[in-house]
Amino acid sequence: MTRPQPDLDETPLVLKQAIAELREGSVVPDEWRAELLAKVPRRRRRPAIVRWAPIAIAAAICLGVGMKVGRTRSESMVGGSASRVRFSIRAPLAARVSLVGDFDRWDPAAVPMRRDGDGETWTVDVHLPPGRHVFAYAVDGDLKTDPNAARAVEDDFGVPSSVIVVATAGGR
Amino acid sequence: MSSLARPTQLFTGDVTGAATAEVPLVGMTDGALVRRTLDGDARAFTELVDRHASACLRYATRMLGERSDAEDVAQETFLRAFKALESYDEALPFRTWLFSILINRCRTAMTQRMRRERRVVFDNDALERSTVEATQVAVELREELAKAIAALPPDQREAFLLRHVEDLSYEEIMSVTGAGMSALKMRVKRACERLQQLLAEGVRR
Repeated sequence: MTRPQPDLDETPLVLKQAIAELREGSVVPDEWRAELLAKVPRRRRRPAIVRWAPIAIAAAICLGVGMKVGRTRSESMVGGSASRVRFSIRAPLAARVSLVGDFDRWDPAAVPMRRDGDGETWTVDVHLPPGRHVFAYAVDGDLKTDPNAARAVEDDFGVPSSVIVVATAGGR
Repeated sequence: MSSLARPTQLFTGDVTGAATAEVPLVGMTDGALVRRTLDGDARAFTELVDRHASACLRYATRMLGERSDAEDVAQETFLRAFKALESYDEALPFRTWLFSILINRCRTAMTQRMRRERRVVFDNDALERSTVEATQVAVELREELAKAIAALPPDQREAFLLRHVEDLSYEEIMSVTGAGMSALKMRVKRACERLQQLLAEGVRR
């Protein structure tokens, strides 16, 4: 970032030279750096989406728009208030994947996904009540949308997310 | 009843490893690095350290006049910043926010050693460079400069370094020091005058 230069136009030469000398960067010793980084505690991998979750949820509630249906293959809804939905994403190099959405308060620890036998696909089955749900995949801390689902309008709020609509029992 | 035999809906996505495993951090803004650090990416905080450690060590060394003290204070600053990262507001440049912590740590360090005899110890790295790069005259000038900086009252030294060495705007200095604009300008003005006088005459002790 370019920063405005201090008002040195009328500064005497001796002072300009002194300031130039003082601006020389300090060498960062390797040992100092290594010691510092060793002291930094491990931060639990917790996607920043948690900070945005209230906004996303509020947007989903308040806007009530963007009710596009994701590409669903549902043929039937089995009785009861919740339907079982399988979410699946291909992430061969990921170390940790979870499903986040308004149904789990966007908590990446709530619904971890399991790596399938192919070693590349992560899957989880969840039970969702009828209605519209905004969701995303937390892949090693980064939010990923589902390319086969509709994007949520809440993207404008900084949360990449997809939409799934779970039909009511007996309905389409 | 929720004992379902098979999923009723199937969603599939595709995420390549390039987007997840080794995302290049070099081009990222400080704000993005902070977010990644909060996400648990340790590399992002290392990148922040690498970007700002030199300036922090420079300021602390100039402010405290003691390299080992400066290294302690700079380390403490980064560790405190790490713990307080959730409170960082991207409306403020990260470096300014980091300096607000550094300034307080320097003030604390100066308070703690108030009863110790003031010593002027130079930046060893700069001196090592100087033996290679500069003439003996230049070394002496550098030593005089360090002594002159150390001779300034702490509040003037702080304002002068932040304005003229670290290039913070007066508005930024106000936000991180709590001092008023007119007071800051007066401190910088007096520091410049005093430095000019000391450098012209030689350091008096």
